[in-house]
Amino acid sequence: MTVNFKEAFIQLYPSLGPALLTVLEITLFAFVLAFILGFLIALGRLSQNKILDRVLLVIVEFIRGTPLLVQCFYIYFVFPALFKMFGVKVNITAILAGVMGFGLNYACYMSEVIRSAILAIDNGQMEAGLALGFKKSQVMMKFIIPNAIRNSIPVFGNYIITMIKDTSILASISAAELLLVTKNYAAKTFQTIESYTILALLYLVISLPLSQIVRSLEKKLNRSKR
Amino acid sequence: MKKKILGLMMAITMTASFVACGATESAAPAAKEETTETTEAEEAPAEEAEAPAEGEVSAALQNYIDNGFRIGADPFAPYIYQDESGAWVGVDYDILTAVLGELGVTNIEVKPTAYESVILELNNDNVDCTCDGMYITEARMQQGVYFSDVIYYENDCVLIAADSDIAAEADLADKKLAVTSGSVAADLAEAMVAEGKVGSLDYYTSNDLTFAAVNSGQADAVLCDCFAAAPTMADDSNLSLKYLDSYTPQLEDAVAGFGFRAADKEFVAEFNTVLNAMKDDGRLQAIFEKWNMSAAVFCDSASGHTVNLAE
Repeated sequence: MTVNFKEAFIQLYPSLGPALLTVLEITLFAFVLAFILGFLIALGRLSQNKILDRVLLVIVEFIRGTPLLVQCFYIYFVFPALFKMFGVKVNITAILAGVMGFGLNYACYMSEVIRSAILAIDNGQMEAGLALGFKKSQVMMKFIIPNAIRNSIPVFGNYIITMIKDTSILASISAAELLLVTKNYAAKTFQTIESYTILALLYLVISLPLSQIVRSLEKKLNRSKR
Repeated sequence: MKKKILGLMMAITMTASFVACGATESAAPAAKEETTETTEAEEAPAEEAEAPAEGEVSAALQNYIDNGFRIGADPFAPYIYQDESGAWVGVDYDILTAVLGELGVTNIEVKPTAYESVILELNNDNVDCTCDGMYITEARMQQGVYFSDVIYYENDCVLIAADSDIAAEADLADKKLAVTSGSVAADLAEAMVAEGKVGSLDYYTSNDLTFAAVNSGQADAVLCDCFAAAPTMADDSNLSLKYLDSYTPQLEDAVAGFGFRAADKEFVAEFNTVLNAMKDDGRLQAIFEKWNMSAAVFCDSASGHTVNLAE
């Protein structure tokens, strides 16, 4: 048995490109979806409406209490099967299922981040805004929420990095992302050592610069605060 | 109402399993003829003549007798898997334990190993053989696998939803096929896509997910080998799948063997001697019968000799 990284890389490289695009595509759309949904959930939970708060809390706890992989299986296998039982043919592509699953799952975690960021803004800002003659909603939209979101940017950055790595679970629902493509290659050639080492390095190449960016962003935001 | 649905499901499953038998049996003669041509039958008797006499065994076999034998298996029915009580069972397990038992190896351990890394584990000396109906291919020999003689033939088949409108092979041209990543069926399906015989292809990480994909309508058909399909079709009535009868197997000459290390060459010769004796006296056929296998899977000792790279 020989280890030949060069050969493995040359053979694996053409399929890793499109797979990487798929990963970035899923991450991008899922993150946008998660941000919008998370923001709405956070606002809903902070509203005066107790019923809305309770309902959203149940949803958030339900999604946070079940594994992401199970949620993706549910969207990809169970929903179409349920629809099929009622004679409706629904076709959810693996990528769409991934975007929906990741979007929903991360929205619940991000809503908590946004909610606590809003709650962390000093109450004095609200009082000052009201004293200046702004309406409560105006103070929220103009001062408190922008501040809260700015403070959560480093956390969002870390969520993006986690999300990129998490997309590997979508291999189980046939999304042609990095892990599945590598698994295909490894199973065909039995070049297990080479394939998975290349895959791990590729994930590192993506996530290390990103976490560096997040770190410098964090520093920058802290400096402007002073 | 419930009873009616249950009855319907049973009817579908039964029809499907009858259909299955018909399909494999008709493919049998063709399969045997092809393999006879390609393998070197005349070498088999010579091998048997060299069989070690009682009492003198190879160093590898002595080691296995003394220290036990480790089977590297990705648990999957009907090859090798655990039954409800946790005991290992399966066609491959039965054949392996029967042959090893006759060789005097009684301490047999099954090490669950992912299929795609089993050759690595074999080369790393973490397991002593591969199973799961591994096809005897030159690529695998180049990876260091030293195969036993043919244990059985394996054909491929297509499964579709019970209510599918696919009636003939030609209907697959615009359909989505589900295959298991890394299976030989995946290679076949890739070729079919390239030839325009299949619309598109989705890869799944295990056989059961390909069945689930068709069951939920995410894919139109599954291409897999008959060994992979048989237990699912027999056991799981929730999967409303059926065989595509008109599909012509492409793997008619696909032969499976147990994979060993080239260093265990003498042990493999001893293993083959017993295996071929079992083929000749009907004990191997009895194992296939026990697992409800079609007679088409049987490969006789004369046509089942494997020529390994190191030979």
